[in-house]
Amino acid sequence: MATATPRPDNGVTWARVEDGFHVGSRHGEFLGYVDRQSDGGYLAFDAFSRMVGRFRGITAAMSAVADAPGAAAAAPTHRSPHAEPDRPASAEPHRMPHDERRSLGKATP
Amino acid sequence: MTDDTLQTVVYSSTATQPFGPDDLRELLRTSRSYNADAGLTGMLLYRGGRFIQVLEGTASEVQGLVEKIRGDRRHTAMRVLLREPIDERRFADWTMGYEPIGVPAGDAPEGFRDTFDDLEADDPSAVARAVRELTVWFRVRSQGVPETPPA
Repeated sequence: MATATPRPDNGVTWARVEDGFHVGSRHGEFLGYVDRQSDGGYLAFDAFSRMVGRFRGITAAMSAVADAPGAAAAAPTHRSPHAEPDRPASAEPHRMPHDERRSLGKATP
Repeated sequence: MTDDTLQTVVYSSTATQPFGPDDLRELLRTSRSYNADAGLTGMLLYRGGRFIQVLEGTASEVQGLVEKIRGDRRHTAMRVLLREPIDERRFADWTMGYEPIGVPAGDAPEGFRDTFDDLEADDPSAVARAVRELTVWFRVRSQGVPETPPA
């Protein structure tokens, strides 16, 4: 029997762009995204790419995106009963690891 | 007659031969050079033998490049997924941005849509949402954090 990860709904459409990177939208509006880290944790970001929290599980990260200020104005939200315990959100702006992903092709030098 | 309206076009196509790193590097080199001269910006994805490209610029320049790409023997099954006017460029800093993207190990988890499936759907709203999702992904991967939310 297949097992599925319980996930919050809140009227949010979630899409996988690549493994570990998920984008949420509600009623056609971009809400934010969840990005899995190399340590297996998840960072949640709002529509302005401000980090709203660091979580051990994807469900809690998704709830944080759906419940982020601004997102809440679009529709009533609720905390998922399936949300995992989470660590406090950091106020530090998130920077991606500066690895070899940096692309070429910048139009400006 | 030229059309100076700012426009974006997103298309998909299939590589006629597998593209290795050297092939991609050469494709990006020529495309960036052409785009810089033509005032075009955008991004390119290559995933599982398929290209997804976002082009931005004046309608005349974008259409000119679309016709050029149609005749490029390195692509086949080219399909325009989205064509719409835009108020401002979403890839203004990129003559042709590129980030490697992995092919997922399996289907999207239950309850999740797959961006690449939506991209080729017949539903214009799903296509537009998928393009926005890819734009978010690209900005995160290339710059760390986008400065402004995508339109």
